[in-house]
Amino acid sequence: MQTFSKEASLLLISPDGNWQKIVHNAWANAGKVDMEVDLEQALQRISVCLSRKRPYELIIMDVWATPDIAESIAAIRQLQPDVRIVVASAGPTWKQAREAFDAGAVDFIVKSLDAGELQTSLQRARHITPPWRTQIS
Amino acid sequence: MSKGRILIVDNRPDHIPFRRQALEREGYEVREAYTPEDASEKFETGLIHLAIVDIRLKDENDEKDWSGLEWVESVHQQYPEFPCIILTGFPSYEPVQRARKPDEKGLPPAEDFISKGEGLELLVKAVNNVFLNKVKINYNLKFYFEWPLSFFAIADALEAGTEVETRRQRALEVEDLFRKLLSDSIQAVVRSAPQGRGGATSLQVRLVFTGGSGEPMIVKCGPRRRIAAENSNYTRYVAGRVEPYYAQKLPFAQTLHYSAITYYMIGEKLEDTQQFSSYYRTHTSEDIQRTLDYLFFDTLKFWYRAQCQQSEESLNSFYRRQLGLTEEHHGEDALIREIQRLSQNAEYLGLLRIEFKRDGPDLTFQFLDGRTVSYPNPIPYVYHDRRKLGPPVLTLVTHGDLNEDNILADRDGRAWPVDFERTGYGPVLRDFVELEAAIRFDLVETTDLQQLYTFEECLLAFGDFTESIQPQGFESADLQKAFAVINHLRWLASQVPGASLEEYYMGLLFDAAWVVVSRPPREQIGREDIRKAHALLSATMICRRLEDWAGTR
Repeated sequence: MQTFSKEASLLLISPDGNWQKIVHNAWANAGKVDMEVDLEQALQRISVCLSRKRPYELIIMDVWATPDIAESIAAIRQLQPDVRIVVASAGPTWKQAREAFDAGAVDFIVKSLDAGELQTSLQRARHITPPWRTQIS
Repeated sequence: MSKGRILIVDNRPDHIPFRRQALEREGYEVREAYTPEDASEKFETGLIHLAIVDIRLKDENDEKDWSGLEWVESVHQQYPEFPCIILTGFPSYEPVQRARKPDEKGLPPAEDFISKGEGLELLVKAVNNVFLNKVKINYNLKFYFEWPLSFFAIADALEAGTEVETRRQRALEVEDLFRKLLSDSIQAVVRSAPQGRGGATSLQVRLVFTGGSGEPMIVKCGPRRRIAAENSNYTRYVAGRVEPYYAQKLPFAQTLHYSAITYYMIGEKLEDTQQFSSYYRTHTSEDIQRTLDYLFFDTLKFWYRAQCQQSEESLNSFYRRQLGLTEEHHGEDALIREIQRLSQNAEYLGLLRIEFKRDGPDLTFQFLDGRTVSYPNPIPYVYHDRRKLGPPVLTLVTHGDLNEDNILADRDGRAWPVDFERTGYGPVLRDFVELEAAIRFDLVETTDLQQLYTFEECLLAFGDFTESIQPQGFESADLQKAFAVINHLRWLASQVPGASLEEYYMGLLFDAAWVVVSRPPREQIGREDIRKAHALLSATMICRRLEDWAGTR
């Protein structure tokens, strides 16, 4: 199993108790995990962390926590443009996936992933240059 | 002129015509392909800007047929910047994940994912979006070339020796490259510029924008990987580290076979600068020494002031690898063939004879006055580590190809390097060694090998960097000047932390061997062969010097 640096900080936005536990376990050796159940509270927490100069490295957003994936990602990026965002869904559809990537998510994952797969996905997500930072000629 | 070329890849030819019509109405030129193989062929030859690809290209009814997506992924592996749009009649989230998930550099295999059921309007909108934000090809740009330049002439320079039809095709590709690179101007006046080495070509370009004209800049274009390496090295080692007389202002652009990078001068006029080769010929040794001071103490000071690192590679192995002496056409057999060829033509080189046996211990030269000298056979030293230095070897960031064509100097004697394709960590004296080799074998004009022999003897008399050696036995002003400049260059080298003259001589040995083996022989013996004979003489004399060194340790 992969491990993360102690500094790695993650914010999970999800009202799903089971999923919270799974993410917590997957990130247990990695560092700090903060949880919020909806976007509004998550945005407040992101602002507080930024004011303390401790920005999140990764944010996982459950589609249950938001009525609009693209708007939610835009709201997060307005506060912290560089953060990598992973969108998670229990009942994934191709339109959800497209909306997530179009808005700048670095991954779209299914909540049925086991802890190992989840760790692999999150580890990979941490090392992706967010698409909006890449220059293409 | 069309707005761009689009390849539609769909196993159902009957699904293509109405999309073709919609895209042609928008001003695009459309090509068609029906299988992955067909798509690859059209992609390679069609100067395509965007591909619209169906997921199922083999079996419409097989939900596991993702051959279209696999084709997109294979193109992405090779050309990460090339844009594709996935178009499918059977959308599901897994192919969206694969097609749109960005790689480590943030680039996804596909720019968009569209269901066939979403209608033509959405497809056209997606295509326009990709052309606007990714392809960025400037069809409004007008080019004015200084005679005899043209896109065909540039392609000709880049693809010398290929069929006319290939060059014609490549000329269109070069035009595409320039239209991508210069995406926000309305006119470009293109003139020739000082050329570097190694298959790339440089041009001086002055752009005109709607608000006025810009300063001239250098556009360097060449083989895709080579220029991409330069772009990457520039970002990694040069930007912010080399005094900014030269700055990269625009992103570089790529096509299938070529890349281009743009340099813009700050505080300098291009017409006031010249390559070191012509600067050397038109200036005194004192001027040149001041220019070298400037180059190493000012322009490159951040490289030479940095902390050295220890490499795990020997000096011998490093130079062999960097100079390509491990490759077959520059390998041991190639060097032996060159020495044999020079031996057979000794009389044309101004020698009575050169005696060489492949496995013999010595190489013997007999000059016209009858004097005979013997030195060690350089083959075991160059290819078999007869004398080996390191590991570890101290390294720091070096230019990696510092020669008379890769340094520009201005009227005030200020100088800075260009061409960063080989820039990276290397032995601390690598740049000094390469510049000395360039002076010895390229800038010296003397062709009398007996004079050159005496010149080499003097240069190898140095026991340490700061020793004061008076030039003796050669009177030509050309060699006197070279000696003075090299003497100063060595003093500059001695200022680098960890500088060792033994390492310096070892580097010179490999550079000399490279001169002998690197350029293809011509049918007629000429200046190039005298240069090779000089380098061979130098290499074998350095071997003796290295032996003496080992003996005195």
